[in-house]
Amino acid sequence: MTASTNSLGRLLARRLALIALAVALVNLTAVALRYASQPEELARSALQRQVESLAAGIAGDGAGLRIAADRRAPFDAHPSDYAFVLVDAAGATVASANSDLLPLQRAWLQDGAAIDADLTHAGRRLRVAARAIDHDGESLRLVVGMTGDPDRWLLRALLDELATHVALPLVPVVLLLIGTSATLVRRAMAPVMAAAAWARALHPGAANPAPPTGGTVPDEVADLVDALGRALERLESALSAERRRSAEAAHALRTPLAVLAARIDALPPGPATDALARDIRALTRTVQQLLSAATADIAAPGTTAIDLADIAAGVAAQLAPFAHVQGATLSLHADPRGAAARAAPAAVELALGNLVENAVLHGGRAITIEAGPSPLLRVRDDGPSLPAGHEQAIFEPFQRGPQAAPGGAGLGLSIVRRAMASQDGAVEARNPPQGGAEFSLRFRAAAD
Amino acid sequence: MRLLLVEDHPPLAEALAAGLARGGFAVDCAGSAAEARRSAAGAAYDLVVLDIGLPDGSGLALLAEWRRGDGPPVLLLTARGELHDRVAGLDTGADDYLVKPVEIPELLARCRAVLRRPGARTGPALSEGPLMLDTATRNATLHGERLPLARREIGVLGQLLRRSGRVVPRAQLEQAVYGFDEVVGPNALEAAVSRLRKVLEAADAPLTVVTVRGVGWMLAPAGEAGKRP
Repeated sequence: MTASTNSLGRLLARRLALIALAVALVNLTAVALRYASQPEELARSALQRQVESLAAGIAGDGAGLRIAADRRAPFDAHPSDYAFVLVDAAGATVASANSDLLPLQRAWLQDGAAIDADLTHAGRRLRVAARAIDHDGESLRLVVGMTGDPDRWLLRALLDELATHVALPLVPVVLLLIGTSATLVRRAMAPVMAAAAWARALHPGAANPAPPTGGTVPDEVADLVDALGRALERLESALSAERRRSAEAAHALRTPLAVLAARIDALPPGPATDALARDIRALTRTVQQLLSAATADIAAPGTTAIDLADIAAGVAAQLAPFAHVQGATLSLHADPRGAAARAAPAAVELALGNLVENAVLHGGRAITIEAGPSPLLRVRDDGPSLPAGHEQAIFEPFQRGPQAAPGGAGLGLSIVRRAMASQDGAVEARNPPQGGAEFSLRFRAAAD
Repeated sequence: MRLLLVEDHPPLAEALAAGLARGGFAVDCAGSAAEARRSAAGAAYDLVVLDIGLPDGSGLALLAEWRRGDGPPVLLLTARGELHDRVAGLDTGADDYLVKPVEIPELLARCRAVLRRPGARTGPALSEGPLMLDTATRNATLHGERLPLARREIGVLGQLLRRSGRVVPRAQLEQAVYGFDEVVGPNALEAAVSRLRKVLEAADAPLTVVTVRGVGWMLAPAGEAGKRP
């Protein structure tokens, strides 16, 4: 499976995250609603937090008890809003802040009970929490009160409640869900991925790898693999029929041409005989191209590394007599760094041979084949340049350029393109600055 | 020179036989593998031109049979021109391989080239048109006139004549012209080829040495391009 945004794993993770978000929202609303309907609960919670904070800040023993400065700080900072009183078992005040805000009531100091009160004192609403505190075995009572809330105790209490009731329980569950589902999906999709990798490696007409099988492949995937295998078989048989037909056509066409070519020799020499010989040569070339065109794109891609310079030398040697007759010279320049590629030699020969023939027939006098640097072959000629803007159109079958050689069928470059495509390669044409035309064949690198 | 033509297509067999006969061969025809087997057993042929697709079997099987014994040199002539067909033919032991259709001059040239191979039943003389090389005396002549060629140039000419009209790879030429213990300068071969070309040109020969730079050289008709018979 690729890391595309549409992979099933990612899709599921996104959905789960959305569900988690929705659950969190519902939870948040519930908590918020609860506190909105019971505001005294929130005040109690806020004061309880202050009690706990102060209790943790008690230091010293006996009569020397005091509260750490940082715990007292909010009280000292807001003398008209917050207050506390710490009372020992005997009822004596041990520590306090802004105690004038807190009219101590007897009930608040009774042993053991946790008391929350909501009253009006000096014209302001006062909320109080009185708690029993145990410090080194000594029973103390702590009373905390608030008349205003400049330090936002209520808000902090609310956020704290939300974190405790929403975030803490949800986050680990969501993470766990996403993690396990991703793992499960990956595991469940493994056979599909294996089948996809197998299908990608298939090439009609080539030796194909065996389909993925085994006990772990689910029936649904096995069915898909089976269906693909059958489709491939049908394609294979169609292809082999096509190849057989091409071979039959080759024989059927070449033999009568051979009779013609042989009979020409018996004719008395003269302009008519020469013209006939030229016509037969052109017809021969067209037949050859039609046959090549029929098989060019079903060549199996090469599986071994080859030396492009070797093949180029063979093509140059094969076409040199033809080029000489046409008044052209061939030369081969092999890059000293080598010209390795991964391709089927027959397809390379077909592509390069057609390019060289094309260069000769289009009026090139000096034609250079460059082998390398890997994995490139180039054919450069000094003939007329390619028609501007037609660099792609010339690769279409039966497309004949304005300077096309007489008698050509316009198949040469389309054969080149198809032969290259069969090898996962590409052909490019351009007009080099020094004039003429240049074709480049790019193959798969040998290391691929 | 006695030649056996094995070809099952009657009009083609007749046309090729006529062309080969005009080229100076005494031609016998066989239309099937069985007939070819009988003919080859009954007479000593200097050369066999063999079609691969025969009605009663593959020409390649016939070739393999002959190669097991002391058979005649074989030139394959076939409609199958794919690279792997050519490789299979030459691997089975064919001396050369031609794809149909072929023009008679080309066929004759290839036949002569096969017969010129070392070990083939041929005399000491190599020739192409009016150009002749006596490999025994190492004398090259044009229309009977001796050409002023040095030893190495004669060596180059000999190799080019053996494969006239086709490219002789540089390595093959080097190997044939120079001894193993000879110290050869980097451009010695180019120099020899260049002198040979000048001598041919000076003598107004209808043949010249064509350079296929980076590959090798070939002996080909001189003069204006495109003037092919």
